[in-house]
Amino acid sequence: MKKFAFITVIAALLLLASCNVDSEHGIYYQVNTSQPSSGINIIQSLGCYKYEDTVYHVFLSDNGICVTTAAKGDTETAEATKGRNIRGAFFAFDSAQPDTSVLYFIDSEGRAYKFDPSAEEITRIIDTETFNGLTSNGYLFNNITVRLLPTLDSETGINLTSMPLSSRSAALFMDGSNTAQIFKGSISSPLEVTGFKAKATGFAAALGASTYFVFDEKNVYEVSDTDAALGESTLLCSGLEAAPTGGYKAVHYYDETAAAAYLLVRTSKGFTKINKDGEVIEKNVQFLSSLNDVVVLDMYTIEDSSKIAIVTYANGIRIADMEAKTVSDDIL
Amino acid sequence: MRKHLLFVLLILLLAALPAFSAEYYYEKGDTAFTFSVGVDIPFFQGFINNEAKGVEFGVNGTHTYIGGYGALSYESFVTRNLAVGGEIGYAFNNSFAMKILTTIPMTAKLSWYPVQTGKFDLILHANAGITVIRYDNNRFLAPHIKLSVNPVYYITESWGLGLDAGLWANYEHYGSSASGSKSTESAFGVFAPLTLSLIYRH
Repeated sequence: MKKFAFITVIAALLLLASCNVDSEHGIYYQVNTSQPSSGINIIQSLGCYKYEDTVYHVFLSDNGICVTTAAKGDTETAEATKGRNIRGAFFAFDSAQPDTSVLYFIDSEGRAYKFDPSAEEITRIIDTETFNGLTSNGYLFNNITVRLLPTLDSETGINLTSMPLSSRSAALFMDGSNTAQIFKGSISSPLEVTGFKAKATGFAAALGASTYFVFDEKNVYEVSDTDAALGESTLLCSGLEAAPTGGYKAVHYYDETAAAAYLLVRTSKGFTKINKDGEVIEKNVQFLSSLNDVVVLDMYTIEDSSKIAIVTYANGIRIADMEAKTVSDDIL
Repeated sequence: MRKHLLFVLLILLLAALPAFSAEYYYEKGDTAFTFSVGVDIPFFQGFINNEAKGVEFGVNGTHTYIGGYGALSYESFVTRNLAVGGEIGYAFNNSFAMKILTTIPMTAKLSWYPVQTGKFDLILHANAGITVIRYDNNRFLAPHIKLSVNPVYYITESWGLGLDAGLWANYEHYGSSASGSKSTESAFGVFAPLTLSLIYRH
C-alpha cells in the first residue's frame, strides 16, 4: 500500500516536471473548436458569388474546381475539371448572371485553358505560350508577360466587360528579390511599387476607392492607384509581425458597417484590426482566436455584408461576421 | 443522459436503505485489486470565463467522440465497509479533428461498501488527484475528481465482475496573467466512463 502510494507520488512529480507547456490555446478550447476534416484539400481560393439569396464559394481543390454553399457536405466538383492536374485557376464570375461565368485554369505544364461550366467545354487559350501561374484575380503570368484575362476575353469576342471587376483589377506579385509589384488593368508591363523591397505577405484592394493595402513582414502600406499618384505609398501602420505560416492573404479590407471600414491583418499574434488611418483598434481579435493556428489562404468579403470568408489551407472555409463578432464552423 | 443520472441516483438510494444492506463480509486489512476497461463518453465542457462558449454537452457540443477508458487500482480496507487506495487510469477520445485527447489520472481512491453479501457488492467510489491531459503536442497537469457506482458479482470467492459507471472531471485553469487571453479558455472537461471491472479480493 505504502509502496503504491510512493510510486504514484514519484510518477506524478516526474510528470509535473514535464507538463503545462505554454501553448497558444487551452487544451479543452482546442478540442472544443476542432473540426472534422472534409477530405477536400483547398489549393486556391477563387472567391464567392451570390445567386438567388445563396452564397456560393468557389475554390480549386486537388480534385478539380469546386463550388460549395454554407450547407455542410454541399460541395460539387466540376466534372470536366476532375483529374486535370490544375495548378492555378481564376473564376470570372458575374454575380448577376453566374450561369454565364467562365473558369480559366492552367495545368501542370503551364498550358492555359478556358472552361465554360454551362457547356462543360474546355478550350485551350494562347496556344503559343505557357505560364508560370494564374492568380485568383485573373492574372496569367510567365517570365515575360502578364495578361489580365478579362482583357484577353474582349480580344476573343467574349463580352465580360460588365463583370464587377473593381475589386479584382490588381494583383500582387513578388519577384525573385521579393519586391512587391502591382499590375493594374490591361497593362502589359509591370509597375513596380515604390519603396517595397521586403517580402510582401498580403495585399488588399479598397472597394470603391483607388487604394491598395500591402502588408510586408512588419508594416502596412497604403498604395495609391490614381493616375496622378500611381504606386505612391505611405506607411499606414508599423510594428506588426507577419505570422510565419500566414499564407498569401495576410491583409483584408472590409466594410464592417456602412460607415466604418477596417483592415484585418493576420499577424503572429492572431488577427489585428486597424482602421483606415492605421490606428490599431484591437490586437488578437478575440472572437477570431480559434483561427490563430491556421494558415490563411484567402479572405474575402461576402457580398453586401459585414461577413468575411476566411479560407484556411487544406480544408476549411469559415465565415466571420465582423459586426456580430462570431465565427462559424468550417462550412465544408 | 438524464436517464443514466436517475439510474445512478436510484442505486444510491437503494444502497442507503437498511433493508438493502447485509452483514459485513470484509475485515479490516482485506485488499482488493481492480482492473477496469470500457468506454469514455463525453458529457460536457464548461468554459467558466467565456460567456460565448458557456457549457456545451455531448459529442456535438464538446467536439469529442466516444473513446476508451481503463484503470488499475489497489485498495485496502480501513474499516469493515471503507477502503482506501490509489488508482491510475487512462482515457482517450478523438476530437472532431481526429486528434487524440488523452487523460492520465493518478488519484487517491476512497471506496464505500454499503452492500456486501459475499456474493454481491455495491461499491461507491470517490477519487481525487491529478491528471495529465495531452492533446496535439500540448500537455496540462490538472486536478481530477471521479465519482462512480460499481455493482460487483463474485464468481468465485476471490474473483468478481462488475459494472462501473460514473463521472470524472478535470479542470484546466488559466489565470488572468496567462499569455494572451487564455483565462477565457479555463474549462472543465467532464466525461462519463462506463467500464467492466474485474476484481480480485484477498
